[in-house]
Amino acid sequence: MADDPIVRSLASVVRNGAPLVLAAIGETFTERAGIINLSLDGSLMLSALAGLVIGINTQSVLVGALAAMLVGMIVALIVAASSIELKQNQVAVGFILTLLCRDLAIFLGKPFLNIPALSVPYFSIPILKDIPVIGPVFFDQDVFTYLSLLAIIVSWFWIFRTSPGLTLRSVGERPAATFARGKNVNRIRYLYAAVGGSLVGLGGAAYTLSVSTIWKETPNGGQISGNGWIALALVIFGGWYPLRVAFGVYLVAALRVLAGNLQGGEVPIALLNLIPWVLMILTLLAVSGPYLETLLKILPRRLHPLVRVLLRARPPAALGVAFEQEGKE
Amino acid sequence: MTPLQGSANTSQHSNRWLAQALVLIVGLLIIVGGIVAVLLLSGKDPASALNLFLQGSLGDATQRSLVVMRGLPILLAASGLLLTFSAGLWNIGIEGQMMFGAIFATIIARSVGNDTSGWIALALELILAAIGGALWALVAGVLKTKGRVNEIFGGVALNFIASNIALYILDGPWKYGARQQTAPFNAPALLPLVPDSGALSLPGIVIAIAGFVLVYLILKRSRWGLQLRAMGHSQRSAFLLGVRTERNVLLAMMACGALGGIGGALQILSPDPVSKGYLFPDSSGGIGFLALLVVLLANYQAAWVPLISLFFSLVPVGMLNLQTQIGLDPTLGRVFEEALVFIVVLANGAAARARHTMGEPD
Repeated sequence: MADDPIVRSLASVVRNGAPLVLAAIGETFTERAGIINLSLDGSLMLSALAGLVIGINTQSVLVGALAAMLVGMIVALIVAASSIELKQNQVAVGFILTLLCRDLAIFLGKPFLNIPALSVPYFSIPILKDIPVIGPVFFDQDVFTYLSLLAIIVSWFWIFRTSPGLTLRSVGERPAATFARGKNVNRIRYLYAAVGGSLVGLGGAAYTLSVSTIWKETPNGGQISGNGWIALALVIFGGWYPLRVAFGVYLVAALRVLAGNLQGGEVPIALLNLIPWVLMILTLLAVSGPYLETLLKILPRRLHPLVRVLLRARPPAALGVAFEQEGKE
Repeated sequence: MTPLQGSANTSQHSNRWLAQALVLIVGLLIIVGGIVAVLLLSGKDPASALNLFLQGSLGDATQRSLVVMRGLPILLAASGLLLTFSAGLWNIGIEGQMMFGAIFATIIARSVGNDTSGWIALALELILAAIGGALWALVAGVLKTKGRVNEIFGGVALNFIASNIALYILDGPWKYGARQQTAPFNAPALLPLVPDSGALSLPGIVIAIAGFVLVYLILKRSRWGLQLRAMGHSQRSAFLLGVRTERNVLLAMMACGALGGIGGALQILSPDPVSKGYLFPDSSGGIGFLALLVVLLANYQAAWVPLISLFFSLVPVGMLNLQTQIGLDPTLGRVFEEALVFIVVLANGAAARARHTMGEPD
């Protein structure tokens, strides 16, 4: 069963999707709290480098991953603090940090170009791995892939099935109401910026310690560069719902596996590389544009709930807006 | 106003400046300290590196002219961005718009023969560049107004699409030999140089300054500029006051794209050593992002943009000398510029916070 080519492709989709899942779920947490961390493209690269370098130097995957999480967390906290304490535009700060972290990673990473990093061993989970199809796809992977699966389930449960999750959602929607219920809005925002940033950092570590294990980032591109933007777009595509975000990630990963198979064929690589970005625009059009209503008019009524669940996306109402406590001196 | 209030105001002011200066000084110390540490760790002498940097950027007339010429595309793109920022738009797609300007200019430039009139060729190239940049900006604008796609994400995607289109063309129809580039353009297609001036080109300088002055006048003196600024404060209020906001978004994007497109053309139309004199995959070279940083560093104040553009071109020119002489990675120059903008934005925030806690009106 494990040798079936389709099963093997599915397993590689799940594995290659792990860094994007971690980054996009992390960003979902942060944005649900009302903070937009636009720095993903840079912070993914910088944390990936930290994971690689610290991992090599300590010969420990765990320490490497923790270092990467720390980098991701610090960057996210800077975005949060400059909004909460300094009232600066989150988009401006995030954009500057995108470029700064990216170029810092390229500069500091130059001595590590093409040096192999540590690689994480696979370990299969007993009993579960013997389930047909599902076993080899989900339960015969490495630790980063398991963490990405865990992140999907835990984030969904946390956001929609727990009391702190309810508070998290209300901080992103109606911070003033949350404040009136006696909650410290800004402390909660810091907390989820830190949690989300750590997950982004873990996603970076998943690139260098699990998916690729080699550093290839130069000013002309690499393996990681660009993925932060895709993760940010996937959060929108997912409508800020973890399960839909993860679904989007696996679609992208599946497309990449397909495109990888097409490479070397008739289609020029530049045109293949166009596809994800064209799709990004089309999906953003589908979820945020006015076309959803048009689509609903055409479709039979029975399909409406399904289409809404899959396509409707409304950002948290207070996303990107600093909270000012009234009457505070 | 009583003398007492006056002194209170002065102390509030000094508090504000103190907060700003403190963050700036600490930030600059961190940046400079970081660079010195990098140099020392890689076994290079910081003092001689600074000397090489200054020689490489300001040492002689050729180097200085290089700084000016490389600053022109930054100035043009940043001028365009002043328009979009005024209207509250984040035109991250400027990078792709510059690439499209360069591609469109190449349509003319690669077919210009040695016997063509340089002035006509140049005029056509720049007009096409403006059209190319404006069209690519229009795509982002329509996605925003009609499709409600945020211009940041639309712009990022369009940037990647533009650079892949360039790659496709340069790997296919326009390929020159085995390399991913067009054939070098003939001399009439390039900007004419002032004799014995190093790399200075008067038409290039005039166009860039004209672009900036035009934007400045639009923003400060015209009704349209007032409308854009009103939209920047609140698009909804502007709309309720009768401003045609949707049309203005498209116009501002197209104007910015046109200026960026011309900037992209200048990136490839100068003779060596300013630019290469042919189209290559990374022709926009991050200049659009750099221009966004210029406007952020200027805190959206138009008057500062020309000076900062020059400074942002001085850094890479100086770094080039460090690269050839002691093998320092020029990416360090980018890191320095980005860290500087980061620190200044934080310092502005610190000043605003000091002002806020002092109860001074914003």
